[in-house]
Amino acid sequence: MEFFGSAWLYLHMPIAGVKIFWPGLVLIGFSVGTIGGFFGMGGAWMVTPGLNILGFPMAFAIGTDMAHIAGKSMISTMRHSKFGNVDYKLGLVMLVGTMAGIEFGAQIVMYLERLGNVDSIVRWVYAAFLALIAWMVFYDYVKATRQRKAGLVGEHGAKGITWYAALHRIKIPPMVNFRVAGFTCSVWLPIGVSFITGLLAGFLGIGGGLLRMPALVYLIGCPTHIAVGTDLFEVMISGLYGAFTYSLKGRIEIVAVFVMLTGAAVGAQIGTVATKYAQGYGIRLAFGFAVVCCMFSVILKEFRYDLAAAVLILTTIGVICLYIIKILWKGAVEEFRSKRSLDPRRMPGTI
Amino acid sequence: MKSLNLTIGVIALQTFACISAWAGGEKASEIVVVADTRVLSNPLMRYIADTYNTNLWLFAVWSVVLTALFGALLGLLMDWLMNKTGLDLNSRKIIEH
Repeated sequence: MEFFGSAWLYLHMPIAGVKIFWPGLVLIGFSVGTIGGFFGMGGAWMVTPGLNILGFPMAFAIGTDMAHIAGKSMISTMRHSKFGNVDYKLGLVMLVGTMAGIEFGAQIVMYLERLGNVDSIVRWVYAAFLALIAWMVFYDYVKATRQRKAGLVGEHGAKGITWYAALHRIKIPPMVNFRVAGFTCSVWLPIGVSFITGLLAGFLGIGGGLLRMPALVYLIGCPTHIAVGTDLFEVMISGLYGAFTYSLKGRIEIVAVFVMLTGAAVGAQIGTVATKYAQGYGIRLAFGFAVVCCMFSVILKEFRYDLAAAVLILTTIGVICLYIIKILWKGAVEEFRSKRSLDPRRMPGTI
Repeated sequence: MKSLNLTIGVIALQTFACISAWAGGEKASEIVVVADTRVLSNPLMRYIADTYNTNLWLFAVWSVVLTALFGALLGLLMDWLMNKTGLDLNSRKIIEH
């Protein structure tokens, strides 16, 4: 599929054997890097339609996606780590549950495949969970706004849904202190929650960041910024594992991964640094918006409106990217302004 | 020359079989894909395609190692560039609402 006449804009993919418009790959990498760095997820649901539109064979899209996500999450994790947003201990504990859950979820899908009609079931379950997440996010926001108006503001501001407080009261040993996330709970809580999110991810055939990020906030009790950083750490490890298994199946176009990573490197920095200037609920609301759009795209696909689904996803990516860039721009300008006002060399009357 | 023609013929047949399999709507996991090395002049691209065709394990190891290395390298480079902007990139306040 050639969009423009210039041959230098097309790169031959040595394995898939197709010519791909490489600036498109850079743009996809950039957008997913920005959104993933801001929300703390891999973003496979955004990459696949983009790769398809560029003319990528479907057989290679998922594996290429997976490897790119691993590299991109590495860049974002490095940056989040410097902000103190990654709780490695929590990430490693959750990895146990995630891996077991994904494997279990994949077994359920294989069982359903033998019964037939698995695709439709998976799509509707996916849509239902996305609807549930969207409801949680918006209900939480409304509740937190009410709390703030009532003057009930804690150390980090007003809080909406606090289901994690009840779950923290379960004292099944061993109890573990997660210093960076700032709470102590039974080790079985993060393992259990990650097992369930992993099971769903394996069942739905997705990376799981979309489910894990809200689970970290609402069920485990992480502050939003730490949920974003810790989730990216997990996405990085599961992405590398996924890249290995998909490579063994011969389903990766490694050249495309590198091209996408160059765009993702810039995007990941933008998305990650933007979290510094965003309030936790700002991130949650934008995440809720992305989830709603993702849900509608899944429903459109179920009714075979594939083009409409792809257009919806790409429009969502564009809007969210612009929103994140605006946050970064505004925050950076304010930071520079306040630094300048504190600079004694610029103060009138100083010697 | 004869062996080269034979190799090209085998690759073409395999590629055709693979395209036919796609056209038939078989599952992606059951398709054997062979990279066409005839059209590749760049030695690096040729090495990637050859490794893919001959040793998938080595290809998988290269994919993971290179992805991780390239990710880390880009991360460090972008980190350095972002530090040059003068923004404070080591601290942030957590405000939820």
